[in-house]
Amino acid sequence: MLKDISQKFTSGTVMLLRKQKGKVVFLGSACLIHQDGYLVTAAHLFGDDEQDLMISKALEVDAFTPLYTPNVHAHRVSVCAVDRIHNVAILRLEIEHVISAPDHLIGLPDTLPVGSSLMSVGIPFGHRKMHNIAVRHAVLSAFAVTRYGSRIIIFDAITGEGSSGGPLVSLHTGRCVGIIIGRFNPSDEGSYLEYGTPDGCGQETGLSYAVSSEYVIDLLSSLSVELS
Amino acid sequence: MSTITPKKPLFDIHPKVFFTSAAIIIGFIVLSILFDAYIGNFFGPLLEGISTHAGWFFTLTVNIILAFMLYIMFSKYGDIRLGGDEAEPEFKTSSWFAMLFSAGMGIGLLFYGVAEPMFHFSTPPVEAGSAAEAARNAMNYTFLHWGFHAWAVYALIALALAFFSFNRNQPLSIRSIFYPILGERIHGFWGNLIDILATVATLFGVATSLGFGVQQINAGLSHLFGIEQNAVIQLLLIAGITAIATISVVRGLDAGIRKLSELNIYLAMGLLLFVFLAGPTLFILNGFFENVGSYLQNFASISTWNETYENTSWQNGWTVFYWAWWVAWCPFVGMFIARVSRGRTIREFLMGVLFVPVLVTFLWMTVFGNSALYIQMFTSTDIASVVTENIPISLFVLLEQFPLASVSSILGVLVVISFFVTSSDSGSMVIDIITAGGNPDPPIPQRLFWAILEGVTAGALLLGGGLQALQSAVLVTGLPFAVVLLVLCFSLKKGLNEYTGVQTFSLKPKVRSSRRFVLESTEAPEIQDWERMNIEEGEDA
Repeated sequence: MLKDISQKFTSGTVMLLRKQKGKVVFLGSACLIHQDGYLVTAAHLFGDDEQDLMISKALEVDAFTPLYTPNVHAHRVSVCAVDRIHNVAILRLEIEHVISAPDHLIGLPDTLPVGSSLMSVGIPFGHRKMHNIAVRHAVLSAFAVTRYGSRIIIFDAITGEGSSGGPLVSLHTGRCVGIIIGRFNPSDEGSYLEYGTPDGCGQETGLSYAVSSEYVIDLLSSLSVELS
Repeated sequence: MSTITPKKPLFDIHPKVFFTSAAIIIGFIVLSILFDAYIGNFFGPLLEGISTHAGWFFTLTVNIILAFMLYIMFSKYGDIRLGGDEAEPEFKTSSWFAMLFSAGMGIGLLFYGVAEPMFHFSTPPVEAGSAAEAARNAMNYTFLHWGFHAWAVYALIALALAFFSFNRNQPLSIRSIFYPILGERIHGFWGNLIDILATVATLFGVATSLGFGVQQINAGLSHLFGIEQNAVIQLLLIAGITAIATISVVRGLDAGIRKLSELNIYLAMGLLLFVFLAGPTLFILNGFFENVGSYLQNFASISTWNETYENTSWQNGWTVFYWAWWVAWCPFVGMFIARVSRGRTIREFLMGVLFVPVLVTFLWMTVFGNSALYIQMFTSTDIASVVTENIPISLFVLLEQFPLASVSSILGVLVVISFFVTSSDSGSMVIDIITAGGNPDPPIPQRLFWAILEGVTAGALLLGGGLQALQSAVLVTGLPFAVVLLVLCFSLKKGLNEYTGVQTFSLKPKVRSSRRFVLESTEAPEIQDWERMNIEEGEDA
């Protein structure tokens, strides 16, 4: 089961890059979500600058590949829709591709019980030129609503920085139920969530979080994209 | 604030399929009328040759299909919901059954419900030691011809269509069932060819049925009321049936076809109940359980029987004819069943399509067939000779044996007509969908065109001759289509495997679009305060 779902989502998880003076820099992960070339990612990865975004396939998943790769092949993508409040964005490949997509990619986390199995997919060490996709098995630790109203899923895996924007998948339904944002690290006052290693504002919890896929579904609906 | 509702287009056609099919149909009608004898001389012997030499193949095919359908029903694929996990049935279960049954069996039940057991009783397929054994055999073979095999053929094509259309996002069109084999080529020449053949076969199938059917209704009316049997009456009947069917098709699936199908079932059930109560009720009750038991007990032997040791050709006119007919008829019925079955799991779908209509058919055949057998075996009336000489009046001959014959005969005529209308409207709907490139809700002018063309075809063939030749031609298509159905078993299994197995993305640019870049190291984008910042920005704005 884990293997099948892993293959389903690793085949659609890509690197999000930005072109800078003939070179590219790695921003985070993104995931193909529709056969018409739509991808989903975390909006904070590109911030306010929606220009020069590209994607590239990660290295072969089921093979031994070098730890460091100096070059990548990249395709242009444009931003179709952004929900800056909840930190999700829909991108689209600029050049037409022939894409076959698996069925039943997106679901809702509502029916999942706390304690159920999840899988996080992403390229955790992309910022260090390591382009291997890593899959992690996790337990759904808690549902929460942030101070500003975002519904988040907290899970017990430490995600690498580059996994941000990748899919959080339910192993029960085989569907993406959230978009990974980063490590869960509440401040003393609980007012915001922090990404990265502790710097005095909070403490390392060993947990990560993702925003609920309902925001992705809303964005796709606003684009009139039909989901299977 | 005003809202703008987008106007529906007047036409939504697949030009190649629509115009080519219409041209072939009109051309073939003209040729059939001009060269009726020549076409009859060609297809008649061809059909006979196929029955003699390929009868075993039909027997093999329908058995494989039935076994395959049972396997799918009990396998893990049974849990797949047609239309995806969230899909909900479009029609309530009773309406769904009504439509399945009305489109699937139709008029044949009315005529052959009485006539077929009588034929098999009078001319037994295998030698019987006693009248009781001959009667039991007669019901066994009637059940065989109208039972699980016929519905398994329908179920196969309907399931394939529903699955590839609702779960694999292919158009609701016959071409879609070949997707696992032809791939993207279904959207090109081969796909068009498949849809054109399906359109032509469906229209000719429904039109020839309509043509023969009105002759039968006319014979019934003549027997009942002394109305003359001539072309004018028959053309008027075609016009009437076509008009009702056209209104039904134009009103749509829910407002037209569903309501007529339900009315049809109410009328048919009324007639069934009347014969059950007015006829030999105890004989029917005893017979139903015995018939079902006997059919199941002898299932393996009768469904694989090929007349090998008898060295006769009885099957050519019966079993092989039925198998070829169900196979030739299945694109139409299958497509219709698929259209109304979205939202059901495959197991629910197969339970519904295989078992419920078969059970109702068995009940029907027992009520009408056993009533006729009772009269033949235990009274002095020789109903068998009257019925076998004139099949169209068989129902009315039976009804005459019971009280209130004039009322029940009128009810019988109404049931005959309503069965015709429901076959005709669902046939038109299927052609509408195919020639609209798989649009399940095609525009009204197209529905009008095909519903009227169906009636015109039947009328032209009736007047000009060519009904028999065309029916033979439709039956001849059963042989190649039987091969197609076997391939379809493979195709469907492959599609279901892919659907339930590991699915992955594949991504290929249509033009070379990627460039090679040097990758630089960088820090991860900042997320701290992202949410607060954007909320505050939103509030400021």
